[in-house]
Amino acid sequence: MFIRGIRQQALKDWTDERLVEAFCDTGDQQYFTELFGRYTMQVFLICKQYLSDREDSREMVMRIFSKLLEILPGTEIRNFRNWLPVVVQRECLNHLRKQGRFVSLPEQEALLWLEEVEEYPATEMPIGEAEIILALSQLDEAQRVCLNLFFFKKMSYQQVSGQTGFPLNEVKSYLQNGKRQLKKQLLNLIAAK
Amino acid sequence: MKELTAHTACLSLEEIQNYAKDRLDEATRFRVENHLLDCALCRAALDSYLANRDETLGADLALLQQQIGQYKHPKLAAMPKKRINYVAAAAVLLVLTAAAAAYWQHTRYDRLYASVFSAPKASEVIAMRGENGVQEADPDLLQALDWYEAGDFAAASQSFDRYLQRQPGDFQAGLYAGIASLNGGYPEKAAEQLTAVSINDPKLFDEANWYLALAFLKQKKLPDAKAILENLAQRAEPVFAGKAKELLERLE
Repeated sequence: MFIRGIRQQALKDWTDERLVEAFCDTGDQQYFTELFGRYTMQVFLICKQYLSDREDSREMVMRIFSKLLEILPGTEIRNFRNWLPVVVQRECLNHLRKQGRFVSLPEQEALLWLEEVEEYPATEMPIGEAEIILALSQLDEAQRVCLNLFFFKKMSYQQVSGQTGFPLNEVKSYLQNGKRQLKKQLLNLIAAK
Repeated sequence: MKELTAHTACLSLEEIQNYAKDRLDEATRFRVENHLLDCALCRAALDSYLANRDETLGADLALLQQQIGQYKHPKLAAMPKKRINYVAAAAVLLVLTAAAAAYWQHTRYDRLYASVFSAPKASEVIAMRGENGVQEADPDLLQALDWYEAGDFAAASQSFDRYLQRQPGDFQAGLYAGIASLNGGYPEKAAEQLTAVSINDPKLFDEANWYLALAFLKQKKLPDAKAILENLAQRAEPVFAGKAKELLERLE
């Protein structure tokens, strides 16, 4: 009991990738329980967004938990956190379809989620300010302006919107896409070193 | 600019609620918004929260955490697990440690023996034989000395045996036969040979007793070894008395 308690405490410091690997290697449910526990709140909220009913949403969370326990060992996952919403969305939509309640997602949103499955390692990049400035210069102007205001001036989305005149949704989009592009550029710069 | 590339932790329910209510300080707000740029999961969760602003989520989450904690997947429960049984591992470790300690203790006298044993060189033996001028040409003795010089003490012991059958009164040869037997892996035989030498040749008493003590040590007959060493320490010539005292201290 004592050893188990220590181990459970230690698991809290493990990365998602390490927990996935340990679960796939051993089949020991405690690794996946720790992993899923990190995102239960988000999964529940997404389910609730689709299913509305809280009891249905709780059942769906448990169904997803059970399903992932089964399919995870045979699935190649690079980033669990970005893979999870895709799975949750798919399960919720399947559930609604079975009930004859078809809900279509805005196409742009679905694509965005899928694109984010292509993630980067959860480690810090070995980069300096010069590389960031160089990578920033290669972005679209709108993205560059928004990123500058957000990261260098520490403005909120709302303030960036007010400063640039871009609608709030566009600001978020510029920031998301710009940051993703910037990371890609930085990865290329690191690879070229 | 670490914020641009660093991996950030997902949002807590409290952060989502306070962000939605615009109750965050500037630094936390920046962390939340920066994280939202990278995390589709938290973005979707925030959208859901903003759509309903349900303040009673805590109860659902507590219930879910409980269900998840208690859930045992039927297929996984039936699967053989490779996880380490810590109790078994600890038991194995304990047994191995005890075995290692026992082995260490068991080999203690062998290690002591190895650290103090040194055989006189065969050239010294040959010189000794030359000085005495006897049995110089005995083929078994010469063969024994050859083996001894080559470090093959077991073979030397056998050649000494053949020689000593013909010359039982040659206690100098007996001493070296005992040393050869001792280091050749026959400590019991060595003890007999060395005892005979120490009884019959007072000039060889100290040296024969020194190797006799080592023969008892090799056999793990500690009281016998100690008795001889104590006698040597009190009465022997300084060289052997010193060796005996040192070995007695190490035995203690």
